[in-house]
Amino acid sequence: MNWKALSFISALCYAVTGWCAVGGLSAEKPGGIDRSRHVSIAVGQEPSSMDPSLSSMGGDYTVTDNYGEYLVYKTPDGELTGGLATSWEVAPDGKSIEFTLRQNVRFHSGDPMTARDVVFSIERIQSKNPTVRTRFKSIERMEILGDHRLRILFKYPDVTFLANRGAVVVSRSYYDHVGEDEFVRKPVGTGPYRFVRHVPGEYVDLERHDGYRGVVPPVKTARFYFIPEDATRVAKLIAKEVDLIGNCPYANVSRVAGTAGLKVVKLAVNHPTPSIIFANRNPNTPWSDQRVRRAIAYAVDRETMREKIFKGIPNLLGFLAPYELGYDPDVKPYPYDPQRARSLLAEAGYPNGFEMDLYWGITGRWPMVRETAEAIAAYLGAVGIKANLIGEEWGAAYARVRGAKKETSKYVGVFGGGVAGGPDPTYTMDLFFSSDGGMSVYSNPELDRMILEARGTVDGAKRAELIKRAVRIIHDEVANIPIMSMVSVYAMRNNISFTPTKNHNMDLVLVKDILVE
Amino acid sequence: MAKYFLKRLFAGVVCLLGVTLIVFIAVRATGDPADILLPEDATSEDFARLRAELGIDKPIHVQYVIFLERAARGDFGRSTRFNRPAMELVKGRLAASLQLASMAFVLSTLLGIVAGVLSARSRGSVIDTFVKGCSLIGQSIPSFWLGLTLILVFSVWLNLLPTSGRGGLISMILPALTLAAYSTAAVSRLTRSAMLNVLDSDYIRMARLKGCNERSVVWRHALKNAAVPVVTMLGMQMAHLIGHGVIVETVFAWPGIGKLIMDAVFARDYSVVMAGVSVLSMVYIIINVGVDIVYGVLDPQIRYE
Repeated sequence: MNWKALSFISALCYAVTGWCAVGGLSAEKPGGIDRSRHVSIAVGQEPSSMDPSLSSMGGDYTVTDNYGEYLVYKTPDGELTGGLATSWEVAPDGKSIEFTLRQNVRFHSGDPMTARDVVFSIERIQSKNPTVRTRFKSIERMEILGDHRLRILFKYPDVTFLANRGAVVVSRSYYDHVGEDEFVRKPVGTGPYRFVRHVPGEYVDLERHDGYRGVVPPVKTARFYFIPEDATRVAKLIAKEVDLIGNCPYANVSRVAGTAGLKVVKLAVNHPTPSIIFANRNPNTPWSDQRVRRAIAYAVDRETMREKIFKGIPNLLGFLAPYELGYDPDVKPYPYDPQRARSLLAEAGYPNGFEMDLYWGITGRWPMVRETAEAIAAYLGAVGIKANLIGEEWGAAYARVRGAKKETSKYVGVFGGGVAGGPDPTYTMDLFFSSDGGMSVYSNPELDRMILEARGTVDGAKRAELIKRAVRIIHDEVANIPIMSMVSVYAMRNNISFTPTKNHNMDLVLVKDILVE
Repeated sequence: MAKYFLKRLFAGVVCLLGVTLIVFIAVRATGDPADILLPEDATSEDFARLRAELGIDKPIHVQYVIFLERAARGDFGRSTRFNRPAMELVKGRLAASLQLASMAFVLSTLLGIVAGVLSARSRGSVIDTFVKGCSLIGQSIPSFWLGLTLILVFSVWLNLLPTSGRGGLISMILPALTLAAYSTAAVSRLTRSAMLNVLDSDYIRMARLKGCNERSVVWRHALKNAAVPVVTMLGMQMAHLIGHGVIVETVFAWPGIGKLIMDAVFARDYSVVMAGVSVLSMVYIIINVGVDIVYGVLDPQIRYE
């Protein structure tokens, strides 16, 4: 197809997508439901399982976190607070934690919640949930000390166990009673809402659990629709078919906000962070030289990308967000300075630049993936680095990153790196920057030692200091170049008050956070 | 006749085996599900353990034999992504796809044939030009664009129809129209050219000479003779409407089988891909046999010997 025709078609497509988002408001549909009690929500991803113990991806938690509860929670400031455990004591060596569980908690099936259920839940995750079970690899064994007391022993100190909220708790007696298939199909939890029904490919219904301890949330029933297409999701809000949508496309945010009767709420989850990452073990690559990596950092104009591609919505962070342990205000993103980039390249022996492959994964995990990769390639071209873009389907992209630890690897990629917004900075640093980290393509023995020490340090202040030093190395050595830290955008009708809970997924909607006026 | 159908049935089974074998190999060529299921910090032991659990550590021919043995008993395994029996997921989605495809099929058959006949009857007229123009647009318009435009006009601006989701008949109108656009255009074009051929033939002239009225000439004598290629195409379109609705299913959040299979391919959820493809292949084979029967009704010269 010729380019003119192609660009005409795409211009048309954009126009329609735009119209869908801004189209005028029309009269309220008759025969509506009682808004004071029911809320309809549209999100992009359907959970892969309704069973909270099988939740593993971002979109899973959007629904299951409404009825599944965890041992501990985090306040918006990052402090730990009680969940199904009322208190916990970490042994001085960090190798065991003793939990005291909340009394008189019942699952929605009526079964009481005890230490047996916690052990069952963790064992279930270890055997059935390949994604989450690796987080529990540090667990040596579990001891039940009473109905509401248990001790978890670790092979090595693991500060990420609490930061990851411990574990979601599901009912062992319910499982024994109904068996595997029913357990997955009709899950029960202890949360403020209970699961009612799931129509695959369409929606999930939840209802308030009136026997919930503590504050009773205002909304009685909620329906989550799964609408994968962004433009349709926005149209659904404008046509008043739903009250709230998650993951409002960045391109539509200002228009939705300017539409009468609608508003947007933003939440800086700061995760994921698409970044440029480098496999640095191969000495025959230009980017094994720190000066070349630094040149690339100066070559990319992130501020303009933020404004033009991401509509000014995400955050531009040096590494961690200000609310995180070990945050260092002196670590700032490298500024845009193509002059300096060229001179650094010349200094490193590449006055005329070089050619390289730049990989990126096709994913819906963060917006504008292709545009980001294309902009980076264009900026690199401007300083003489010819980057050949290679987009790969997500599974293949993931496998390529895993395979980039070899000393022959020539991998440079735009990848959803872990920078800010993780459960604990040591968790993400280990994963993305230590030599044997699962998603790491970078290797630096000094950094490895520091991360290992930070991981094993229970004392918060000491750990913060170690994190600071590790971040400093990552930043100075340009182990990666963080492009943008994502901000979630929710759009809703004006009569909805919604204060989203911060977690690690971009479209978490807890019905308890919603108030209908 | 019975012998012919036995033969067709046998051919169908061979075809089904062929399709499953190709897809079985192809889906494994897309990559390892462990790459997607396992998190960032998984070790090589985690990989080995998961591969053994999924049974994908065995040689591929052994895996295929195991697959056939189980499939013969109706067991297509469990979805790795949903942790539920694969066939259970496919069955639920197939009903939704059949529902939407049937409506789109009825729409495209009625509209396509009527438009094609009218257009051929008054060749070169305003109607003919209009139908040809619409067919060209219908065949070339991208369905996601058409779908979004219909949502914008009928749901957002006019507030007449729901934007998406599977409700009653009313929720099917926009997705069925979007899905039917291409087929309607294709059917009307083929009907038009088949009718033009037939209308030129001696027996039509004969029918006119002996004094049949024009309506009877066109709709009875001509259309019946022009119908054989159209029926072939309708059979193909029906199969197409069931299995290729993925874009329409995505735009309208319709819980169909196309999107289920496509998502399963991306998630490397082998069981669901195999269950879905097997069911779709069976549907295709049934439709083909149905088309053969219709041939015999339309044209007595066609004999199944």
